Amino acid sequence: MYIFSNMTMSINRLRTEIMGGHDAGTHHQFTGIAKYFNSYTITGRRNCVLATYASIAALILFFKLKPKKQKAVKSS
Amino acid sequence: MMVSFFDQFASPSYLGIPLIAIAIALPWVLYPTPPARWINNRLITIQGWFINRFTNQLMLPLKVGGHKWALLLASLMIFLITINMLGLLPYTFTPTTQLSLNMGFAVPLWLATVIIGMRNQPTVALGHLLPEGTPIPLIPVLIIIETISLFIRPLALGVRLTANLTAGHLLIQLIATAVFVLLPMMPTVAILTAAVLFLLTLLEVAVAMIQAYVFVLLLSLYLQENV
Repeated sequence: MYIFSNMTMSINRLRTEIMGGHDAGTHHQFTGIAKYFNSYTITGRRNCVLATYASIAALILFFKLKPKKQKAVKSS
Repeated sequence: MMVSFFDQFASPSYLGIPLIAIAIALPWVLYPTPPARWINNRLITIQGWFINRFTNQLMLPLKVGGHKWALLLASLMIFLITINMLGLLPYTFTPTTQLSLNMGFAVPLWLATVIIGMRNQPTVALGHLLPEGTPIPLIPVLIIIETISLFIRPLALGVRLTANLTAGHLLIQLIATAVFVLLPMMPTVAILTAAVLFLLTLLEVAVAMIQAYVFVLLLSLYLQENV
Protein backbone atom coordinates (compact mmCIF):
# COMPACT_ATOMS: atom_id res chain seq x y z
CA MET A 1 0.00 0.00 0.00
CA TYR A 2 2.81 2.37 1.03
CA ILE A 3 4.83 1.41 -2.09
CA PHE A 4 1.72 1.90 -4.28
CA SER A 5 1.09 5.46 -2.89
CA ASN A 6 4.79 6.35 -3.46
CA MET A 7 4.55 5.13 -7.07
CA THR A 8 1.40 7.25 -7.63
CA MET A 9 3.12 10.34 -6.27
CA SER A 10 6.19 9.87 -8.49
CA ILE A 11 4.01 9.21 -11.58
CA ASN A 12 2.06 12.42 -10.87
CA ARG A 13 5.31 14.41 -10.53
CA LEU A 14 6.58 12.95 -13.83
CA ARG A 15 3.29 13.86 -15.56
CA THR A 16 3.64 17.45 -14.33
CA GLU A 17 7.20 17.62 -15.61
CA ILE A 18 6.28 16.19 -19.04
CA MET A 19 3.29 18.49 -19.40
CA GLY A 20 5.27 21.48 -18.06
CA GLY A 21 6.97 22.12 -21.41
CA HIS A 22 8.21 25.60 -22.40
CA ASP A 23 8.09 28.18 -19.67
CA ALA A 24 5.79 31.01 -20.75
CA GLY A 25 7.33 33.31 -18.16
CA THR A 26 4.02 34.03 -16.51
CA HIS A 27 4.26 31.63 -13.57
CA HIS A 28 7.60 32.72 -12.16
CA GLN A 29 7.76 34.01 -8.63
CA PHE A 30 11.08 35.72 -8.20
CA THR A 31 12.36 37.03 -4.91
CA GLY A 32 15.05 39.53 -4.06
CA ILE A 33 17.07 41.10 -6.86
CA ALA A 34 15.82 38.46 -9.33
CA LYS A 35 12.39 40.10 -9.06
CA TYR A 36 13.75 43.12 -10.89
CA PHE A 37 16.58 41.63 -12.95
CA ASN A 38 15.77 38.37 -14.74
CA SER A 39 15.56 37.16 -18.31
CA TYR A 40 11.98 35.83 -18.13
CA THR A 41 9.61 38.73 -17.47
CA ILE A 42 9.48 41.70 -19.85
CA THR A 43 10.27 44.20 -17.08
CA GLY A 44 13.15 42.02 -15.89
CA ARG A 45 14.59 41.97 -19.39
CA ARG A 46 14.12 45.71 -19.74
CA ASN A 47 15.92 46.33 -16.45
CA CYS A 48 18.81 44.07 -17.49
CA VAL A 49 19.16 46.03 -20.74
CA LEU A 50 19.08 49.39 -18.95
CA ALA A 51 21.58 48.16 -16.35
CA THR A 52 23.97 46.98 -19.08
CA TYR A 53 23.70 50.30 -20.94
CA ALA A 54 24.25 52.23 -17.67
CA SER A 55 27.33 50.12 -16.85
CA ILE A 56 28.83 50.73 -20.30
CA ALA A 57 28.11 54.47 -20.02
CA ALA A 58 29.66 54.54 -16.54
CA LEU A 59 32.78 52.75 -17.84
CA ILE A 60 33.17 55.21 -20.72
CA LEU A 61 32.66 58.18 -18.41
CA PHE A 62 35.16 56.78 -15.92
CA PHE A 63 37.91 56.45 -18.51
CA LYS A 64 37.12 59.81 -20.06
CA LEU A 65 37.17 61.73 -16.78
CA LYS A 66 40.13 59.85 -15.29
CA PRO A 67 42.96 62.36 -14.67
CA LYS A 68 45.93 61.62 -16.92
CA LYS A 69 49.31 61.17 -15.17
CA GLN A 70 51.76 63.91 -16.15
CA LYS A 71 55.28 62.67 -16.84
CA ALA A 72 57.88 64.18 -14.54
CA VAL A 73 60.31 66.45 -16.44
CA LYS A 74 63.99 65.37 -15.82
CA SER A 75 66.44 68.21 -15.36
CA SER A 76 69.68 67.68 -17.35
CA MET B 1 38.07 56.42 -73.20
CA MET B 2 38.28 53.12 -71.35
CA VAL B 3 34.87 51.45 -71.09
CA SER B 4 34.55 49.28 -68.00
CA PHE B 5 31.88 46.91 -66.76
CA PHE B 6 30.96 49.36 -64.01
CA ASP B 7 29.91 52.16 -66.37
CA GLN B 8 26.34 50.86 -66.28
CA PHE B 9 26.18 51.79 -62.57
CA ALA B 10 27.30 55.41 -63.04
CA SER B 11 24.46 57.80 -62.25
CA PRO B 12 23.44 59.21 -65.67
CA SER B 13 23.50 62.91 -66.34
CA TYR B 14 23.08 64.97 -69.48
CA LEU B 15 24.55 68.47 -69.74
CA GLY B 16 24.84 68.49 -65.95
CA ILE B 17 21.19 67.51 -65.40
CA PRO B 18 20.87 64.33 -63.32
CA LEU B 19 18.69 61.89 -65.21
CA ILE B 20 18.13 59.67 -62.17
CA ALA B 21 15.12 61.86 -61.41
CA ILE B 22 13.46 60.63 -64.62
CA ALA B 23 14.43 57.02 -63.78
CA ILE B 24 12.83 57.36 -60.32
CA ALA B 25 9.68 59.04 -61.68
CA LEU B 26 9.17 56.38 -64.38
CA PRO B 27 7.22 53.83 -62.23
CA TRP B 28 4.65 56.51 -61.39
CA VAL B 29 4.01 57.09 -65.10
CA LEU B 30 3.55 53.38 -65.82
CA TYR B 31 0.67 52.76 -63.40
CA PRO B 32 -2.59 54.44 -64.51
CA THR B 33 -4.77 56.06 -61.86
CA PRO B 34 -8.04 54.14 -61.55
CA PRO B 35 -10.92 56.32 -62.80
CA ALA B 36 -14.12 56.68 -60.75
CA ARG B 37 -15.98 53.80 -62.38
CA TRP B 38 -17.74 50.82 -60.87
CA ILE B 39 -16.02 48.39 -63.22
CA ASN B 40 -12.70 49.29 -64.80
CA ASN B 41 -10.81 47.81 -67.69
CA ARG B 42 -8.77 44.63 -67.30
CA LEU B 43 -5.41 46.33 -66.72
CA ILE B 44 -6.66 48.49 -63.89
CA THR B 45 -8.62 45.58 -62.38
CA ILE B 46 -5.49 43.38 -62.33
CA GLN B 47 -3.43 46.25 -60.93
CA GLY B 48 -5.97 46.86 -58.16
CA TRP B 49 -6.32 43.15 -57.40
CA PHE B 50 -2.55 42.71 -57.09
CA ILE B 51 -2.08 45.77 -54.86
CA ASN B 52 -5.04 44.83 -52.63
CA ARG B 53 -3.92 41.21 -52.27
CA PHE B 54 -0.33 42.16 -51.53
CA THR B 55 -1.34 44.80 -48.95
CA ASN B 56 -3.74 42.36 -47.30
CA GLN B 57 -1.04 39.69 -47.00
CA LEU B 58 1.48 42.17 -45.66
CA MET B 59 -0.87 43.60 -43.03
CA LEU B 60 -2.10 40.19 -41.75
CA PRO B 61 0.53 39.75 -39.00
CA LEU B 62 0.43 43.41 -37.99
CA LYS B 63 -1.77 44.82 -35.26
CA VAL B 64 -4.21 47.65 -36.05
CA GLY B 65 -1.62 50.30 -35.12
CA GLY B 66 0.66 49.06 -37.90
CA HIS B 67 -2.05 49.32 -40.58
CA LYS B 68 -1.20 53.02 -40.98
CA TRP B 69 1.88 51.80 -42.83
CA ALA B 70 -0.19 50.01 -45.50
CA LEU B 71 0.05 52.82 -48.08
CA LEU B 72 3.75 53.40 -47.48
CA LEU B 73 4.77 49.75 -47.68
CA ALA B 74 2.53 48.92 -50.66
CA SER B 75 3.76 51.90 -52.66
CA LEU B 76 7.38 51.12 -51.72
CA MET B 77 6.92 47.56 -52.95
CA ILE B 78 5.40 48.66 -56.29
CA PHE B 79 8.14 51.26 -56.71
CA LEU B 80 11.01 48.84 -56.02
CA ILE B 81 9.60 45.99 -58.10
CA THR B 82 9.00 48.28 -61.08
CA ILE B 83 12.43 49.88 -60.91
CA ASN B 84 14.12 46.48 -60.57
CA MET B 85 12.19 45.02 -63.52
CA LEU B 86 12.78 48.07 -65.75
CA GLY B 87 16.49 47.80 -64.98
CA LEU B 88 16.58 44.41 -66.67
CA LEU B 89 15.80 46.00 -70.04
CA PRO B 90 18.91 46.58 -72.18
CA TYR B 91 20.71 49.89 -71.82
CA THR B 92 18.58 51.07 -68.88
CA PHE B 93 19.87 52.46 -65.63
CA THR B 94 18.73 50.80 -62.39
CA PRO B 95 18.43 53.33 -59.54
CA THR B 96 18.37 50.55 -56.94
CA THR B 97 21.99 49.71 -57.75
CA GLN B 98 22.86 52.97 -55.99
CA LEU B 99 23.59 52.38 -52.30
CA SER B 100 22.60 55.98 -51.56
CA LEU B 101 19.03 55.41 -52.78
CA ASN B 102 18.62 52.13 -50.90
CA MET B 103 20.06 53.55 -47.69
CA GLY B 104 17.79 56.55 -48.20
CA PHE B 105 14.86 54.16 -47.97
CA ALA B 106 16.23 51.77 -45.34
CA VAL B 107 17.58 54.13 -42.66
CA PRO B 108 14.58 56.48 -42.21
CA LEU B 109 12.02 53.65 -42.32
CA TRP B 110 13.97 51.47 -39.88
CA LEU B 111 14.54 54.46 -37.58
CA ALA B 112 10.81 55.21 -37.72
CA THR B 113 10.00 51.67 -36.51
CA VAL B 114 12.51 51.99 -33.64
CA ILE B 115 11.20 55.40 -32.58
CA ILE B 116 7.60 54.16 -32.73
CA GLY B 117 8.54 51.22 -30.51
CA MET B 118 10.44 53.35 -27.99
CA ARG B 119 7.67 55.94 -27.85
CA ASN B 120 4.58 53.70 -27.63
CA GLN B 121 5.87 50.67 -25.73
CA PRO B 122 9.38 51.37 -24.39
CA THR B 123 9.40 48.39 -21.99
CA VAL B 124 8.61 45.87 -24.71
CA ALA B 125 10.98 47.56 -27.19
CA LEU B 126 13.86 47.46 -24.70
CA GLY B 127 12.91 43.99 -23.47
CA HIS B 128 13.31 42.62 -27.01
CA LEU B 129 17.04 43.33 -26.75
CA LEU B 130 17.40 40.35 -24.40
CA PRO B 131 16.09 36.98 -25.56
CA GLU B 132 13.80 35.24 -23.07
CA GLY B 133 15.44 32.58 -20.93
CA THR B 134 19.02 33.72 -21.39
CA PRO B 135 21.38 32.27 -18.76
CA ILE B 136 22.60 34.91 -16.32
CA PRO B 137 26.33 34.89 -17.31
CA LEU B 138 25.39 35.50 -20.95
CA ILE B 139 23.04 38.45 -20.33
CA PRO B 140 25.48 41.39 -20.87
CA VAL B 141 27.10 39.76 -23.91
CA LEU B 142 23.77 38.99 -25.53
CA ILE B 143 22.46 42.51 -24.91
CA ILE B 144 25.51 43.94 -26.67
CA ILE B 145 25.10 41.47 -29.54
CA GLU B 146 21.39 42.25 -29.92
CA THR B 147 22.11 46.01 -29.88
CA ILE B 148 24.70 45.59 -32.61
CA SER B 149 22.28 43.48 -34.66
CA LEU B 150 19.63 46.18 -34.22
CA PHE B 151 21.92 48.85 -35.63
CA ILE B 152 23.15 46.59 -38.43
CA ARG B 153 19.57 46.20 -39.74
CA PRO B 154 19.35 49.32 -41.94
CA LEU B 155 22.82 48.64 -43.33
CA ALA B 156 21.84 45.08 -44.16
CA LEU B 157 18.58 46.22 -45.77
CA GLY B 158 20.28 48.73 -48.04
CA VAL B 159 23.33 46.66 -48.92
CA ARG B 160 21.27 43.51 -49.59
CA LEU B 161 19.24 45.24 -52.31
CA THR B 162 22.25 47.04 -53.78
CA ALA B 163 24.51 44.00 -53.82
CA ASN B 164 21.93 41.63 -55.29
CA LEU B 165 21.02 43.94 -58.14
CA THR B 166 24.58 45.08 -58.84
CA ALA B 167 25.89 41.51 -58.87
CA GLY B 168 23.08 40.37 -61.14
CA HIS B 169 23.57 43.15 -63.67
CA LEU B 170 27.32 42.63 -63.65
CA LEU B 171 26.93 38.89 -64.26
CA ILE B 172 24.55 39.51 -67.15
CA GLN B 173 26.99 41.96 -68.74
CA LEU B 174 29.97 39.62 -68.21
CA ILE B 175 28.25 36.57 -69.70
CA ALA B 176 26.79 38.59 -72.58
CA THR B 177 30.28 39.89 -73.35
CA ALA B 178 31.60 36.33 -73.21
CA VAL B 179 28.94 35.19 -75.72
CA PHE B 180 29.75 38.08 -78.02
CA VAL B 181 33.50 37.44 -77.88
CA LEU B 182 33.21 33.65 -78.26
CA LEU B 183 30.78 33.71 -81.19
CA PRO B 184 33.37 34.03 -84.04
CA MET B 185 35.90 31.77 -82.29
CA MET B 186 33.91 28.92 -80.72
CA PRO B 187 30.26 29.07 -81.81
CA THR B 188 29.21 25.95 -79.87
CA VAL B 189 30.60 27.29 -76.60
CA ALA B 190 28.97 30.62 -77.39
CA ILE B 191 25.57 28.93 -77.81
CA LEU B 192 25.99 27.13 -74.49
CA THR B 193 26.98 30.40 -72.84
CA ALA B 194 23.93 32.02 -74.41
CA ALA B 195 21.77 29.31 -72.83
CA VAL B 196 23.39 30.11 -69.46
CA LEU B 197 22.69 33.81 -70.13
CA PHE B 198 19.03 33.05 -70.79
CA LEU B 199 18.71 31.10 -67.52
CA LEU B 200 20.56 33.86 -65.67
CA THR B 201 18.15 36.45 -67.05
CA LEU B 202 15.21 34.40 -65.76
CA LEU B 203 16.94 34.21 -62.38
CA GLU B 204 17.48 37.97 -62.39
CA VAL B 205 13.78 38.55 -63.06
CA ALA B 206 13.00 36.43 -59.99
CA VAL B 207 15.69 38.16 -57.93
CA ALA B 208 14.35 41.59 -58.93
CA MET B 209 10.89 40.72 -57.60
CA ILE B 210 12.08 38.78 -54.55
CA GLN B 211 14.53 41.46 -53.37
CA ALA B 212 11.84 44.15 -53.53
CA TYR B 213 9.51 41.87 -51.57
CA VAL B 214 12.19 40.97 -48.98
CA PHE B 215 12.97 44.66 -48.40
CA VAL B 216 9.34 45.47 -47.66
CA LEU B 217 8.73 42.26 -45.71
CA LEU B 218 11.67 42.89 -43.38
CA LEU B 219 10.46 46.43 -42.75
CA SER B 220 7.02 45.06 -41.86
CA LEU B 221 8.69 42.55 -39.49
CA TYR B 222 10.61 45.34 -37.77
CA LEU B 223 7.34 47.24 -37.49
CA GLN B 224 5.60 44.15 -36.09
CA GLU B 225 8.10 44.05 -33.20
CA ASN B 226 7.47 47.67 -32.33
CA VAL B 227 3.71 48.09 -32.75
